[in-house]
Amino acid sequence: MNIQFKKGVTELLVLSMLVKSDQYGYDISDRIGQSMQISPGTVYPILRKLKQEKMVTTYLSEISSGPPRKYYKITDLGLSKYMEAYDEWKTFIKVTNQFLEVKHG
Amino acid sequence: MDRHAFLMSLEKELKKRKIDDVSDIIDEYNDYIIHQLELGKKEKNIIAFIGDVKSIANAYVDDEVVSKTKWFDVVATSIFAIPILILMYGFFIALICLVIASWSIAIYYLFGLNSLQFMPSVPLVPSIGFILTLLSFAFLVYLLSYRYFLLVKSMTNQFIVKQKIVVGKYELNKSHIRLTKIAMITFFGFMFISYLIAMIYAKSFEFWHVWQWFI
Repeated sequence: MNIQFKKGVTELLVLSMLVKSDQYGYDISDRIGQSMQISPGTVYPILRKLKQEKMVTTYLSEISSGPPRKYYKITDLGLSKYMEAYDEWKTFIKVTNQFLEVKHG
Repeated sequence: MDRHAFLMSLEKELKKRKIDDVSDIIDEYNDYIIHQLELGKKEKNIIAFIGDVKSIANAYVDDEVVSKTKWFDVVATSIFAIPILILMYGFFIALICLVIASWSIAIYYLFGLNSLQFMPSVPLVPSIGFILTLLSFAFLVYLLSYRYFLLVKSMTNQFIVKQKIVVGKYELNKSHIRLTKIAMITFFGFMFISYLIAMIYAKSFEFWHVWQWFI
């Protein structure tokens, strides 16, 4: 997959995971890595960018075994960004499908 | 390349590019590798999947550049944006005052107070309509001012983060919208009915003259 394309989609995927609940950083990169074959080398810079843009915040959560885990939490700004990006995505998919259908038909 | 070599070379590349909080970034990759090793994956494959150290480090550089806005842009935008935001907060305060005022007037008539000289007198029966109108008006304005506050807040957020004035990016739940509609209908309904009652009671279209409001 094209790298720019991957980046845009990854941002949307990360936000959508965070809309449902706060997430452990590793879980985000692992789930996206497994299902989309997107590497942590793409996911982590995006998480950092989202944090710099105040779309997400982080906090540490203690666990019984091992060091504290870094959790990501979506902000109000992130939520509005997500809704905007999700609308854009739906339009994008719709238009792409329209083109593809014409080609097949 | 093993885990330590990978992390060391990533650290070196990040430092070369003057990225902040390098240890924070390294910790996350270390965490990822450890978890993947626990799943029984081979170190070599994990590191190959993460990707090339230089391109990872570059991915952080792009973001740094974007996040640093030029001082001139910030100052120039602020000259316009800050007065606009202050005005908007001022209007919000005005709305809240309106809520308090109409609520207080409703209470004033509700308890049949007549301590204030400047308050127009209203006979008992029409005053019930007035009280209901004022209360529903106060509630409607309260709902609208809450919505307005969300708008101003989101504009402030956008300004702080992106130095941009963006209108209309806030979340409003459906029940709030429905409640506003109901409040609006209630208010206009009460206003109309109160006018009718007052009109019939005073036997004049301009009941305020009959009750000598403006003398």
